[in-house]
Amino acid sequence: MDVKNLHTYFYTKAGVSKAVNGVNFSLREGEILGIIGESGSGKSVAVKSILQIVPRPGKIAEGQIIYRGRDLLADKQAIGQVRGKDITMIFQEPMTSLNPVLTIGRQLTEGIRLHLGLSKEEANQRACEFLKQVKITNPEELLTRYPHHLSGGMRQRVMIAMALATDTKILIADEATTALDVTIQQQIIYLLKELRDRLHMSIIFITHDMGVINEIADNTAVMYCGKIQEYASTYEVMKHPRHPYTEALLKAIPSIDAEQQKLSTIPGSVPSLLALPEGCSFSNRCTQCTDRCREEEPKLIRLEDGHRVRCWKYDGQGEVVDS
Amino acid sequence: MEEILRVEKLEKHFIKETGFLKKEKKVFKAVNDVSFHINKGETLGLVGESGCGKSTTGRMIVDLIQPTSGSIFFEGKNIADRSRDRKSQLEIRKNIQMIFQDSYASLDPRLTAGQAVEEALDIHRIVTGKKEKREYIEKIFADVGLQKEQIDRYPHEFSGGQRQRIGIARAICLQPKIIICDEPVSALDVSIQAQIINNMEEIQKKYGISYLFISHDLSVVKHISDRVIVMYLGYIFEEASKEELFARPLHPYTRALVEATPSTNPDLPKRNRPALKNEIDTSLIGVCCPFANRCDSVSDICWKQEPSVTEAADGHKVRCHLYK
Amino acid sequence: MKFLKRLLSNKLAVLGIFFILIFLLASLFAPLIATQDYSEMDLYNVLALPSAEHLMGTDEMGRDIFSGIIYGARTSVLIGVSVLLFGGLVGTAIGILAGFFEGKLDMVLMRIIDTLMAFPSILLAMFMIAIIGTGLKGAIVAVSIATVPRFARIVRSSVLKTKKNEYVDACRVLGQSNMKILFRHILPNGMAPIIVQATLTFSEAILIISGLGFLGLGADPMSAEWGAMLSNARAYLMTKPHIAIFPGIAIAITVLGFNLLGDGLRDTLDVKEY
Repeated sequence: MDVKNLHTYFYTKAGVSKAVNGVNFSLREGEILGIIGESGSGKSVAVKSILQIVPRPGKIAEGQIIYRGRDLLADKQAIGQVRGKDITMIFQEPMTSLNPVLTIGRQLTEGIRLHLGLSKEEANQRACEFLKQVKITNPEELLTRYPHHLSGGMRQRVMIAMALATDTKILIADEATTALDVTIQQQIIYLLKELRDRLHMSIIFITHDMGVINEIADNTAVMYCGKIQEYASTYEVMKHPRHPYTEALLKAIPSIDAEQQKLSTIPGSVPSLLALPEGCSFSNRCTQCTDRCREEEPKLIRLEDGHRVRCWKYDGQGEVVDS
Repeated sequence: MEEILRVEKLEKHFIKETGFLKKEKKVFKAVNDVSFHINKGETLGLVGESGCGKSTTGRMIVDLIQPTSGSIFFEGKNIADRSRDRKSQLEIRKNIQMIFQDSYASLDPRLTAGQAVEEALDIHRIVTGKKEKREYIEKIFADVGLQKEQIDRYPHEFSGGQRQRIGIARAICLQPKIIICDEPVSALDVSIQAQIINNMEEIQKKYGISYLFISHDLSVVKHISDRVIVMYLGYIFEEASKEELFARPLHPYTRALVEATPSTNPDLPKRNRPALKNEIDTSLIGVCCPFANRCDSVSDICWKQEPSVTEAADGHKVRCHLYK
Repeated sequence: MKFLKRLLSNKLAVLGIFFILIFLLASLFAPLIATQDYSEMDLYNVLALPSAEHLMGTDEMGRDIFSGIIYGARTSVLIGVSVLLFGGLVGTAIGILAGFFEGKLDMVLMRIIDTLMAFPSILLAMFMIAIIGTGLKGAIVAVSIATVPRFARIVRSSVLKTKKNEYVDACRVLGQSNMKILFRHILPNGMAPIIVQATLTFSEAILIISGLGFLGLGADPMSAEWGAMLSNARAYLMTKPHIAIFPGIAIAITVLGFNLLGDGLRDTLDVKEY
């Protein structure tokens, strides 16, 4: 999938909030892309734009989302054929995606029976197979249960099973492990990685947790104020962060395997998306800010090693890749 | 070190009446045989995943929940005994305060930031007189990094981090000896989290307050705590100084928790399987070791008998059959 | 105030407020607006159609209907306020006790309330009147008693809901007393559904008592009360419908006004401020 120049704005009474303000990334088959950002960075809105489920008053202002040769934004028919099948999404709170009055079995088999015309028994069997794939030990029993009987981790597994049932090619996980216990989170992360290995499923993993990104993602895009500020392999982003924001973020996190006297903080606060500053959106908080940063917004450039960064520090060291 | 709070054999059982005509009674043992102490000026980290009872324990100490049994000693007096008069209750309250996880929900939306703090002052008559109160609130606001212009603003006008600062201001204005911090930074962005943690450490140094820092995030607990307690399904599984716990984690659960906590270190080799299998099984509580179904060092006795606490090294306690 | 702005943008609510204003102004300035005293009987002009002298005509005793409507507004205000005061306050008190203290007290109070609620208001009122006797005072007492359960329920559930807010816990930890928590934190924040219920009760009281009056169980048939006027008009419905139409419209507009305002308030208060 190729996302080009995506702009999604919220048209509110207070003004236009530029939640996604020119986002470009691409996703290969079998790749796990991590998108990291704090609240207000636009990461959630960006992936909701892919599935065109941005709530009002948000609207996709411009951009192209190319999947299998079709632009999902331009081709009105495409998204209907792709949403829920080729591209599915799991959320932070699976309770709201599952119908509380239907059994798990009913919800899993609904889609299967609809698309494949199987009988109830056959569909149940299929559903059990998918449940086994997400490491659920007694799937037959689970089919008869209701969502509120399940723990958070189980519910997420069921959601992943539903994605498998529709032969998903791209799974978008929006803070899917944020509400889970850390040991369960780890189980889900491993499950996703295993599914990727076996089925070559692509995953876009959204989170605010740098540690999780380090564990799961092949490549990482760091978002801030609606734009990608840094985009490279996860190893590079963690080991050699180029953007001051990424650096600051990594320093602010208490580490499980290192000792810090005092946590580094990022001064100031995130600017309002209704009134973004003239130059770089991080300029009011950056310790390495120059006059140019305040006046002119840097473009995303690709450095020699393929690492992309949006910062005047690297001016002239690479070619511009913003569209 | 001077001990300021001691909890002994604390238990909390929640009784649910179910079934037709409410005949059946289901008991959920949320907190089981919990004993620990906090010293003056130190931070005791209380870490565990959901259902471990850490929040319930914290709430028992501030008297929001009544213990089913057990004692809570503050400066030598058993405060779990509720047969005291209002005056002595207030005196205890003044010394044991709480900071909540949800900074928005824990502030009355109809009161300004200043009024929220003022309420505390009025209840305990710490400061009287309009001018004196205002000055005092300004001083407290400065301590937590808020400006005096923000005293008359309403909660919805603040960001999440700032609201948490108001909560901290409200807690420290009474000059308490202990503050129970119930997941105070879990709902905040990373950059704000760092600010609040640093601020809390500064305040601790300045006023000599002890913290019971409750969190599910092991990295944060590791950073801020002097000593750490690890809880699971209502039991304390391990207790040690921070350095000891992370250098030599004894309990299999502690080890799993450390391994499962994501790290941003790109050079750490990645495991090929998750640290812990299965999920919590509450039916094991009171029957055998509640961790038996997930433990990678499990043996027969773990399924038959509840483990008791042993002191493995100086101050390092563990509840596990491996260390009998 | 943001709240007022939002309320006023709801067109139906504005219409409701408009009706209520007419109603309140009429009752406030009755002696100035009414053309004559309602008890004056113009026996030469019985059952007259609307004219310049009698804006809404006269009834079977020659009384000016327009004046009756205007003074009737006063009576209706009296009814609404009385029922709110007696029934509303008692119901609120019960709701607060049940919701705040819960446990056995809650159970006992709620069983009493459930029993009262099992009866439709009008039936209950009629039952009360059979015991107390007819007349406006009796009717007001009866309707007040019938109103108690509804208030109790709504106040109780509002208190229960607001009590769960974490700032209530925070106040307890500070050491705040129960009473102060209730009156300073729980009630102010839980007012919304209570206010909505109050507006609806106001109009409901007027409607029920008019209905009782129509049945002859309410106000004195000679007094300026819309229901009584309707009752008197019954015999002349076919021949001189205007005697019934005007009180009917008065009741309809007033009740509609309060209902629209109540609905508008509920919609406005429901939306959470960000």
